Amino acid sequence: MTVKTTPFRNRSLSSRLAGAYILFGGLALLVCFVAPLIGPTQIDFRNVFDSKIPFEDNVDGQIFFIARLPRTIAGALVGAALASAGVVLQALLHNPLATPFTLGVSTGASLGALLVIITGLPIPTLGISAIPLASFAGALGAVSIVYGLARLRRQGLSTLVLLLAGVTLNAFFSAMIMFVQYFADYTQSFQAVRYLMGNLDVSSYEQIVWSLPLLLAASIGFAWLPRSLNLLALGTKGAAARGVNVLTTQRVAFLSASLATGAAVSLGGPIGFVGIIVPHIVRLLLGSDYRIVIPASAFFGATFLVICDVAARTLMSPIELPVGVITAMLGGPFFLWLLVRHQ
Amino acid sequence: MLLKINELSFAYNRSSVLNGVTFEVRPRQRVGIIGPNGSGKTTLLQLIAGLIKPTSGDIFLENKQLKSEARKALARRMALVPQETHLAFDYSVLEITLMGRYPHLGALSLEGPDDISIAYRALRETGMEGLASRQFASLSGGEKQRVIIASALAQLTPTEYSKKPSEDFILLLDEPTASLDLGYQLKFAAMLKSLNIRLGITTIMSTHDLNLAAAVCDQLVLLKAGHVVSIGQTEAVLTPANIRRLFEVEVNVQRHATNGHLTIVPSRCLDESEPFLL
Repeated sequence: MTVKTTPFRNRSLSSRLAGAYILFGGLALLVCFVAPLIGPTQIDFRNVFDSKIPFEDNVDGQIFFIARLPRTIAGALVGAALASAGVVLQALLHNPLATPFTLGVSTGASLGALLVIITGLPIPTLGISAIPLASFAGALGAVSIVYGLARLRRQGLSTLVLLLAGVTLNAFFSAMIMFVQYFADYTQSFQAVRYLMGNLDVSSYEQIVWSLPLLLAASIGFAWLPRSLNLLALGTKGAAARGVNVLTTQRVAFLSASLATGAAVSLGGPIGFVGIIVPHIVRLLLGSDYRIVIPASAFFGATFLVICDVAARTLMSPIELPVGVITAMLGGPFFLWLLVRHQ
Repeated sequence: MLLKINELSFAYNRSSVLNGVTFEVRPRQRVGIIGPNGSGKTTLLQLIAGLIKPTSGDIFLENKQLKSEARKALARRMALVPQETHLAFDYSVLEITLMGRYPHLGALSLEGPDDISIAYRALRETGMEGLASRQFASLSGGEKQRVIIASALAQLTPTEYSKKPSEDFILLLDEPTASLDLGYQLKFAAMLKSLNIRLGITTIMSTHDLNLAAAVCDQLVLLKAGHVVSIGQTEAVLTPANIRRLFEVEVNVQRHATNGHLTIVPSRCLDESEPFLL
């Protein structure tokens, strides 16, 4: 994407980096603190943190900590994971239209989740229900197939095969999803559709805690990647000629983005648009340097998804909308407006 | 000897691209690799840069096997300027130039003031300093080429700002003038020569532009279908007979009246199936 001028561009890298962390990080923290205070039931935040009221009697505290905070944290983690995975995959595939779901990770995850829903095996394992486990297994399956295919032919990792295999696998898994859904009864089908819309209705902290090691592993990859990803913009040969170990960079990028996406989808289902809108907004504001774009996208993805979830909970209260519908309805037009404005 | 290429062969999917190529490059030389399309020029440059591995044969950089050198260590000694550069995502001219600093920095470190000074000096060398904050995609083809060369100069500069790239460094250029108009071609030739003379950087350039090679290079390697046809001083190698073998074209080789370079004027195509008169 070509943009002529962007604000903050001419500052030095370290000051832009500090600005991105303080501004976007601060915004994310603020939103995560305010979001649980908003909802159909009014709560008073002085009561929430009033240590004189015992927690069993503190209705405001219970709503804040039990009903809304886990959901907010899940939203922040999913948003951060999808946005940063989107950035990394766009860099890896040299394609600004790539999303975290381009390589089949999310349809694989959905297929896994739907198999559990429809075969009726919701056996809780180690404290969490089978659906997130099955969706993570589905994501892993898809990742292995795509990676295996891309490694088959050449000594390197073929991004073209990666892209084609991902697109094909997406179509194949979608067909499988329809096939499985065809045999579902009314309730199961309803549950399946709800899952596919994406939903952050996380019932407990356990599920969040389980996703943390995966997200942490992905973050280590994301922290190591940015300089090498910048050079990949010059093409694999251009990057290698400047000393980049291209295959290692591609591997780390693919695996950490897949890990983040898998963890995000197992927490919130396939929530669309976050992984493509957020990276582009951040690029329009801050330029292309991944040392800034990756952390800023993670923070802004968290902010964006938490705000969308608040909208999903409150817009048509008491009815709760699926958050995936909100991200698409808010994100689509906003993205188009940004594009037009920068022409 | 700076660079020694010994019996180098490369095959792609069992079809041979290069066959037993042998030549040597001394410091400060300006070497031209000449040959028709598909003669293996680009492959040869990529082998020298260590981007692909030869099927057989060896490359020595100052008597050390090239393949034993680490990726980053190699990138501090050799830079490659490809034919054209397209970016998937747009960066500023300064950012592109700073990408040349990659092999000098750790995975998590930021470019310091020295790196930025080095990048500005490299942009000054190529006449691009005034465009440092422009976006790369908004530049013309010739300007892009200069920025990529600036990035290569930044790559070949040692960490200390006081040091400049010198004769121990090799700049590889792949058909650098292929997409430039006549004016830019001449400016480019002058810039390349001046970088070589002032800084001493050894340059190896592939091209099928014989007049450019005659104006810039002091040493030529003539390549046809992966074989070396002739090697030597530009004046000795650039003969009508050699050019006929290379391109199947009848030419007149003359000395230019004002600048003294050899000039090559094609007169007739030898391929009878396509009658072509000049």
